[in-house]
Amino acid sequence: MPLEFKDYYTVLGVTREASAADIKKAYRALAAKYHPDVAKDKTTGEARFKEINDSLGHDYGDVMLKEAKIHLSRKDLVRKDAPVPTRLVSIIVGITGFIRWQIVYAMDQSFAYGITRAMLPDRLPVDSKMLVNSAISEIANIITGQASIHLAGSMEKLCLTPPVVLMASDLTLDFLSIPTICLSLLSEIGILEINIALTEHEGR
Amino acid sequence: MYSGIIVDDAMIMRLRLLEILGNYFNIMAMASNGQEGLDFYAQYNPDFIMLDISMPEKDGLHALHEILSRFPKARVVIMSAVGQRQIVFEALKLGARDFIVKPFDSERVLKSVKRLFEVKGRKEGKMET
Repeated sequence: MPLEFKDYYTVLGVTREASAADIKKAYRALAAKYHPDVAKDKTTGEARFKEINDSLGHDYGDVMLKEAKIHLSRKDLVRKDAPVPTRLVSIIVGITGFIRWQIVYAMDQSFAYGITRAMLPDRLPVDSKMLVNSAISEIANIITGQASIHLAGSMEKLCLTPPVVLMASDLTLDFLSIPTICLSLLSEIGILEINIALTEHEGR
Repeated sequence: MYSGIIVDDAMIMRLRLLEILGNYFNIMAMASNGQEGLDFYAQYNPDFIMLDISMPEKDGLHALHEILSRFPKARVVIMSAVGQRQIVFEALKLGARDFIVKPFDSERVLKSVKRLFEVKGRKEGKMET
């Protein structure tokens, strides 16, 4: 099944002219109403909460297709207590500003290699770990950057933290316990896992 | 042939940009952070510079500001995944000639750089393509 691209604005119930403040307000209201931990109707609440977060995912398919010629289709979507990756190679990117995201992309080595091969000019060999790390970091950066464009609206500015690539063997860091949506996407070269942990800025 | 410098912290993007621009322009150097880009600019005095925004050491917007303070006629093209409206305005206000949002395609990049050397609809004489 192809990834269904939903419109942020429609899902959030705001117009395309909405400011970042309006988007933030709409997100907060919907999340408060439908978050599975607080929704009165657990089934509807969970489905709606997933839909809101899933809508943020339309950039993933777009970027992977354009940059790496990889078609993604949705495998599953689950809720987790922390953005802990379950695959060998991870890339961590943060968004800071009026919202705070921690996004942990995870994939197997063959997927990382496939992305690199697709992004690199044909005549050049994929001959170093540094090159692979560069490719997967850039993909994570571009996907997150696209999401930040949509979330920032016209009035606000969101910043990205530089991508950090980690191997499973390096994962000695503790992930904070933040409710996380884990989206698994399937392609011809394997699975891309995207863990999205979203918290709003406490000062706003 | 016009000369240029590519500044991007991602090795894969430097290679891709070199592939796109290398046949049309003389790419004199490639840098992986803003400070290095600034140093190379001062050293090579190229005709244009491609500048990423999110980089360690010195980010692209700081480098843009410093390059244009020291070399007011510098032709700078900004490339970034973080193409939020506020950031695009900031870059153009600082004096960037163009802002390319990643992901980009070859034609978009090539068109942007070629346009730097067009004067009133005509290409400047130095172009050899």
